[in-house]
Amino acid sequence: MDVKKVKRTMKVGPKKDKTLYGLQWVNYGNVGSEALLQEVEAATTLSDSDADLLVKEFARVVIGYVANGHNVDLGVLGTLSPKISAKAVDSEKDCTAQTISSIGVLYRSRQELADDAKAMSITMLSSSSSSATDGGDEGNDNGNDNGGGNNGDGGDLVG
Amino acid sequence: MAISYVKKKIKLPINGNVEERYVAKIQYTGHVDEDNIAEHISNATTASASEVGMYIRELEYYISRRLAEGYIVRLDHLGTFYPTIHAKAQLSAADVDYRTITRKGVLFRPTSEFKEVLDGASLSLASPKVMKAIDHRKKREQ
Repeated sequence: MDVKKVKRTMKVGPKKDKTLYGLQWVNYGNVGSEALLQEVEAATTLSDSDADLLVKEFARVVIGYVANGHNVDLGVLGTLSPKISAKAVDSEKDCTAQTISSIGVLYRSRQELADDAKAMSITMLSSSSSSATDGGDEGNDNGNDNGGGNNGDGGDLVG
Repeated sequence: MAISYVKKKIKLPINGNVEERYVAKIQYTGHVDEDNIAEHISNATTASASEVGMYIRELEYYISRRLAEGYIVRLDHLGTFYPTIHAKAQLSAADVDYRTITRKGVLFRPTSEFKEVLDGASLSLASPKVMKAIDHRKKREQ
């Protein structure tokens, strides 16, 4: 994985108006369903139409299970589980479905994937050598110490 | 589609005092793995469950390899997996190097289609019993 230095000026907090420097991973591109499909077709005996149907069915089945309250084990990728956000109330009888403000999905990566992530080698890029897109359109982690790839949160590239 | 919840008694610090409150907590219906998914999918295709299972495992391994290389991986109907790093901000650019990276990991963001399905899921009370809070600090001390 390649990373680059970015600088940003803090707007709030004890370090307000200070310029700080951090690292951001470099996104060389997105891998979409087409690329995944081709890779898997090459590794199995499935026909094009079956492989395409499988991608859609895989998503549909996983979404269905999560929406029905199941933990879904995706092997090395980890697990997807439903999660709810609920307001705490004073009495037990007020604790109803109306206190649940949202239903979402919780992702936990498997230890092997986390170990792979930890074992990722990091290569520092200089600004002159960088031909990568500036982060991705995903991945906004919280906090001022964020080093995740995020186009909107990117900051200026530092050579 | 229904998601079950239970009532749980918790203790919260409020204005300097620890007070009891009640909150809805999710109760999982069960656990499914790749074999369950493969069997379900094979019913909708001409492929056997074992072939579908092989496909799913290959898909998962491919995604994990791409993530380790720094790629964002997007499954159109499910969501996006992306690698992430957390790094400590420094006062000068010269101090920024790989040692400032505190954490590496993988995150997932569902598609809007996925979120809509979850928003439409119904909720049902799993049990009338109220679960009590566990004092983890006392458990650790024991």
